[in-house]
Amino acid sequence: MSPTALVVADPRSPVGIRTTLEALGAARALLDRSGGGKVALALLGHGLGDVPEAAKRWGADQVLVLDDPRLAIFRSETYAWGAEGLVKRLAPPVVVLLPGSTMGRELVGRLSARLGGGGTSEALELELEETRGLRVRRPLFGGKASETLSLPFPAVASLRPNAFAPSEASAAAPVEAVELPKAGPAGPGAELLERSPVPVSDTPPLTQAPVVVSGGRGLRGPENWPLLEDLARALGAGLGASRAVVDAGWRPAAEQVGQTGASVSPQLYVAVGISGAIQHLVGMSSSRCIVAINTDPSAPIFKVADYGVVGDALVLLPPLTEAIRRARAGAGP
Amino acid sequence: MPISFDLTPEQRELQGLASKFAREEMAPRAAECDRTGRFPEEVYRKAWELGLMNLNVPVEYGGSGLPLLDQCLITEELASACGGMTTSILANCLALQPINLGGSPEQRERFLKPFCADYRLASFALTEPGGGSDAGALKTRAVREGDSYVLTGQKCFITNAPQASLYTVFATVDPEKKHAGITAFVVPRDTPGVSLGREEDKLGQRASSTATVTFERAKVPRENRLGEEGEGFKLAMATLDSTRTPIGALAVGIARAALDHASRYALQRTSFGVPIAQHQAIATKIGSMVQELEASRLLTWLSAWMVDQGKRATLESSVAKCFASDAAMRICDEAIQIFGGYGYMRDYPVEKLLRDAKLCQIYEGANEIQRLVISREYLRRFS
Amino acid sequence: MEAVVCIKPVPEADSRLRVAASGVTYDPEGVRYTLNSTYDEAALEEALRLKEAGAFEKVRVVSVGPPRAEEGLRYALAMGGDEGLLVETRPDDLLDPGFTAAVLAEAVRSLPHDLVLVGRRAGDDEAGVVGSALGEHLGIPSFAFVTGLTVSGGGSPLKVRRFTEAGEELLSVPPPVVISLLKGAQDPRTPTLPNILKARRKPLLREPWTEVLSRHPGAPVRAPAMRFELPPPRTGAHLVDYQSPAEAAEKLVKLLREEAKVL
Ligand SMILES: Cc1cc2nc3c(=O)[nH]c(=O)nc-3n(C[C@H](O)[C@H](O)[C@H](O)COP(=O)(O)OP(=O)(O)OC[C@H]3O[C@@H](n4cnc5c(N)ncnc54)[C@H](O)[C@@H]3O)c2cc1C
Ligand SMILES: Cc1cc2nc3c(=O)[nH]c(=O)nc-3n(C[C@H](O)[C@H](O)[C@H](O)COP(=O)(O)OP(=O)(O)OC[C@H]3O[C@@H](n4cnc5c(N)ncnc54)[C@H](O)[C@@H]3O)c2cc1C
Repeated sequence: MSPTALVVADPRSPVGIRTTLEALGAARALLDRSGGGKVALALLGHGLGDVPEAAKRWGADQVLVLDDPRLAIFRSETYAWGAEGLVKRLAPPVVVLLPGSTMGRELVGRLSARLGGGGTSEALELELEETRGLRVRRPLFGGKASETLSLPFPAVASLRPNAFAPSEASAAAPVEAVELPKAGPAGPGAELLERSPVPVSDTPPLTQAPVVVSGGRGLRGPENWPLLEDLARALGAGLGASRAVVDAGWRPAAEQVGQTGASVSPQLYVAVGISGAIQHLVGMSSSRCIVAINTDPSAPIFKVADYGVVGDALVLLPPLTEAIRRARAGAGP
Repeated sequence: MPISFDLTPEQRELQGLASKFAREEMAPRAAECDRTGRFPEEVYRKAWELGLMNLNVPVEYGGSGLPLLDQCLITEELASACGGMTTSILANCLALQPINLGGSPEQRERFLKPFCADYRLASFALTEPGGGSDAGALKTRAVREGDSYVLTGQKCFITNAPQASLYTVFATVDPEKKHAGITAFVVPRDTPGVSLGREEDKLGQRASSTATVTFERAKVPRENRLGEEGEGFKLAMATLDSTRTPIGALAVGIARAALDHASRYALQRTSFGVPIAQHQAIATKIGSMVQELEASRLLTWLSAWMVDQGKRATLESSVAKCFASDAAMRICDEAIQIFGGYGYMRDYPVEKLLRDAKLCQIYEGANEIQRLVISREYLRRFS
Repeated sequence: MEAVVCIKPVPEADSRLRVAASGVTYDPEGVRYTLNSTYDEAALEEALRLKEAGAFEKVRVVSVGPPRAEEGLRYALAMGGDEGLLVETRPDDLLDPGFTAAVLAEAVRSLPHDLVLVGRRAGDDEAGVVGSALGEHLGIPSFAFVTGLTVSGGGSPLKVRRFTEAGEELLSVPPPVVISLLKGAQDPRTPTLPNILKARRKPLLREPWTEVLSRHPGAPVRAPAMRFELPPPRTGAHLVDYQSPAEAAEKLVKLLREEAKVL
């Protein structure tokens, strides 16, 4: 009895498409690990145009299209209703995987409540449990811990962005248009009054920034800070500094991280040209993931770092910034 | 009621409020105000807005009328972030307490209400250049002239004096009578003849302000006299009996901060290949510091509890203030030792704690005087 | 109109976590709870400001949780909530978000609820599942990632501004509705001491969750936690080996994406 995976696409934005591809990749890998099974892609919306044409090469075995005026804007109740109709058409047991976009994350709660199975968000790892359901590992406390849940079929999970490899382009899958029943969810819908472009966010304050990029004396002088600022921008990071560079007047005191500066514990801390004196470490060692770039392989910073690159920061920073830009083409909240 | 050390949910909430205020408003400014001696008016104003200021003023005058135990819980939290700011916040309690205890209903209405309706500061003016410990020998004169008293003299080391709008002043109507001549007055800052000396430059608690107030034929209406002539000394002592215990709590807060800093540092700093906390000499230091802190806190709770039960607590409040402030000095001293050279640096937080703690041994009755009081109270039981 | 704000007490962000003996959750020993996750506080602040602007007559606060959750509700009442309802669990009951939503729905159903506000997600499980599941159980619309809310009162439609990756949308939505705020009002108020004392006298009802759930049609499934894990202690950096700077960058980004999952 091989399960069927249904991925509900979010074709509304580049992030939506990227996370949809990740969900397709995750679905395929999941089924392949347990002896195969069919991956269906659901496209919900109104006036989908050439989206189905493109989507049939995204790696699903089948594309189910629900094009209906009631789906013109994303509302969890109409989308859950539509998706439920599709789940009922598929051979059980069904696993629904949702992209890590805002749409996928909003849909989990409603769809799982509607289907009467288990549901969760931010999946990091997926495993099928023969007859019972879907086993999901997900982060807790901003990644300081994780839990593993067992979701009974029909299981619904939205995936953490970047946690799964996206699916590869495939041969064209069959596309099937599905009609929605005339009777829909009760209650009046919402009316879209206006749509405006995504506002650009400014850089977050140091102590709240999810990512912090800090520079030390290894950067050689204040004239090299634009390299670090580029990296920070690419990561949406706050800027930090060691005390040595603050004392030297290269950077303002507000940027100092450490015993006598700010204490930070971001998801990602990148220490560039910082030796890792204990006074610096106490201000950042509770960060979830620490990356160090330093010319000296015996620098103490490498003892607390998770990843390190031994080398000249001035040479390493530009390609790193480039690679990160490519990896993060547009990001959600 | 049996003794219980469980705080009520309400007490935990008050503690939570104070701790949040301490963390978010006081702690971030503590080092800066210590360095510059700035009086962080914005912190005091916010404390007032949150109701953390006139804790002892009864509810009918717009205060929160908290039991002393609750006041101590709040004080410990505040002091763990900054002793100096806590002193300035507590100064209103000290200054308004004589009005609370000795004022007529009309005076309480007139003087206490404005403090709860608006942010205002008041000062308690007892100490004089000629002597603080021997308060009975104070020199400031109050001479009756018709319906008024004319005050002449000088009060020194007066907390919040530069910012206060009201002083409770202790003066004598007849120096011959010693204690029995002392009388309490409420003196508005804008009374002609009241002037301020320069602000003192202090060793610690630098976020609070301290100055001399001079009275040069300052005319105060009779309606501003608290109680009768000659009742002032008793009123001052009764006031200090009820505000001494929070000074113990203030010392506990400072000591707790020192112990917490030292504990974290001892686990983190390594020497000879291990965290220094694993060296027995450091571990036993921490063992002693914990004992002294716990004892200090329990003594302040006991004293506050007795006051709240309406029991006489002269001995207990002196024990609490004296023990907790001496313990705080030892704890801060050891904390610096545990930090080694870093402890001696101004960039690290512990040396400030030592300087702040020192004041707790001096004001509201120097600890020598507390010991005299304690022995007198205790020996009485045998005579 | 009347509003309900759902709140959840969670461990403080800097809590030291240990695995509980059961292995499925963390050890509550020594964990300090914040009265509300910051997201819930922001949601409550939003509701209170709307009430002060005349949109609501009452703001009620509801929590599903163990007895200590009462502290969170009292805090919410001290901020300005009018009434509280604690749906009480036993300290060792583990409720997953989907199941919590079913219980919460029955609690909310017993109260007037033109607007139900929930925070973006809980500070512990960070699931963000409750809002739309609650909408489903209540049979009313729900919107998440909401960045702005205008309520004119009197049953007229709400203006809801929400984030999507394709741009911000402004929607007109008739009440009742469940709103998950992406970020609520900034600078949630700190309750004053007098308000803390007054909150003690505001009504706070307690009901056991089993009783509340008995009103729910059918039995909602539970998705219990099987395992709770902490990351292994740091053992020194994984040093990237490389021939060219570009290769170092590629390798590092791959590790951060696929292994550390922080990009
Ligand atoms: C009382 C006190 C308080 C202190 N508080 C703090 C504090 O709050 N925060 C703080 O940070 N420090 C603090 N310090 C200072 C701390 O001890 C260190 O001196 C400081 O952190 C060193 O800064 P750094 O790492 O930038 O410089 P260095 O220690 O000089 O390290 C520079 C590093 O850059 C590397 N490097 C050189 N060239 C390159 C290159 N081209 N590319 C890559 N790497 C390169 C070197 O190998 C070296 O490891 C405090 C010290 C004292 C005494
Ligand atoms: C920062 C600060 C803030 C203050 N705020 C206020 C305030 O707001 N209002 C106010 O009225 N006062 C205030 N004071 C004054 C404080 O209460 C006095 O300094 C204190 O009572 C001691 O008085 P003194 O300084 O005159 O010392 P003295 O009385 O001169 O004492 C000097 C030393 O002799 C000891 N001593 C004195 N008599 C005896 C004795 N009989 N037996 C044994 N030892 C004795 C003392 O303990 C002390 O060690 C403040 C002081 C400071 C430093």
